[in-house]
Amino acid sequence: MSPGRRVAITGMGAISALGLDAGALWDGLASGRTGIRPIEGVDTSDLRFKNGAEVPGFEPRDHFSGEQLQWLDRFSQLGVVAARQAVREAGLETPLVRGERCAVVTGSAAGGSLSLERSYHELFVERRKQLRPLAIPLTMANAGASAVAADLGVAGPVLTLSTACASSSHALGTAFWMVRNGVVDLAVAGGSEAPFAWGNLKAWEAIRAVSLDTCRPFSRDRRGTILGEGAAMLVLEPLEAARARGARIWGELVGFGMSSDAGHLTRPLPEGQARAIGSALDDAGIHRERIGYVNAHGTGTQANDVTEATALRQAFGRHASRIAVSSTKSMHGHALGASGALESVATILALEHGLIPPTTNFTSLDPECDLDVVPNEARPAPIEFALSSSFGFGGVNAVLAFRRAEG
Amino acid sequence: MERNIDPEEGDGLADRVIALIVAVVGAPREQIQASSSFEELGIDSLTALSLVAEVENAFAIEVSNADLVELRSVSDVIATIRARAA
Repeated sequence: MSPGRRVAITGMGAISALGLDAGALWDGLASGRTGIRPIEGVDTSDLRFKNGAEVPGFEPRDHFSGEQLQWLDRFSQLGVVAARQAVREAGLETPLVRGERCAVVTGSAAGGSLSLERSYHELFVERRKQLRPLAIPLTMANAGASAVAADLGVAGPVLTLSTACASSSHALGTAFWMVRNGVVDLAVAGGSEAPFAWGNLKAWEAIRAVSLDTCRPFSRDRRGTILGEGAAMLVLEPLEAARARGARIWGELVGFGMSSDAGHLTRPLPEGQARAIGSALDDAGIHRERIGYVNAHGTGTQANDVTEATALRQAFGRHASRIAVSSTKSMHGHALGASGALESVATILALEHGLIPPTTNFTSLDPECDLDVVPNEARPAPIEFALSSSFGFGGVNAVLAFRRAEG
Repeated sequence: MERNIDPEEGDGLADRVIALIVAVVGAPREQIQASSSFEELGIDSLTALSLVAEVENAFAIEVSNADLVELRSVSDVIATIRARAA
């Protein structure tokens, strides 16, 4: 067991294709309902793929003044609202007391890509002579983290990690270590992403990683992933402090492991992923046979799912056959830099409810992904320890280990 | 998909495709034949994707994901273009 303080999760906020809070996310996951639908926010007539996992019914005006909105790209808006939900659920007043002892660590792959695209459209198409002065602060990748910090009164470390689809898992792991090691006494950590910008979608189209119908992780007939948007933020604090103030404890973050493939930008390696899994188990100080559930990266692409299945076999040996493995991306889509945080919420709530969310849209097992993937229906199972895995382009791997709340 | 290209067809299509491969792969022109396989040319799946994107733009055609994964050689690419143009 690593030295340092035990770290509790005392609040969770989530905005996803399944709804506007963590409760809606869980209701969707528990019922195996997919949030994948025809894309509405962007004209898809000149796109090969037509489906996405957009957040339905998010009204910025419900949360921000017009003046505030001038400063907030959609990815920042989603992040701030998820952070407010998490802090409220944790029973904390804002501005946070002793804000200098608090941190915000967020992940985002693309930052303010909608604002960037709007600026480029004004420049290249409308031939405006001058861009709006807020183009830079709207677009920068750490805009979301700083907006959260200002909103909550966090005056300690404020960071954004951008590691593609592993961003918010790296963010949560970093925040976890900061709380465990006493660098701060509270962290709000997670990620947000708003990737439904025309140019961004065309770039995803070009790499042909997006399915033309839906996301079917580990299925023999999978054809790619489905892009999603959203945000999830978690409040992390020392377990003893959380108990002392009588906070509700949703679970513990007990381990974090990361690695690099040191290889190809887009072709993942099982050895790199297995090393990250092993590091997370070592960091948690738990034997691999105690893991009962893995919330997989499970993008639904040919390359990812086979590689991930191989990595799980390498990391767990024969125990891999006894672990329930599901990909909730089949329901909330692949929200890129926000995925790891959304899936962490899913994993904690799976432990809390004793119910494993399924891999939805599943048809038939790919023999090369020979795992128990919990097809289509949630499964009751009392589990103490679970992992959430994120593997990003660039060969960057981040794995988090969670423990069910005691008592 | 396998099909022999008739050099007498004389529309210069093979030359245009080979020029795109030179641009995408960076291989010397003289090493690329219509009969060359992607494997011989070191074209992996992602490079094939880049090549097909250039082909789609140059010839104003669309190649589906299902057809894309079947492409194994320069002659497959040429046959695909001919089939779309026909």
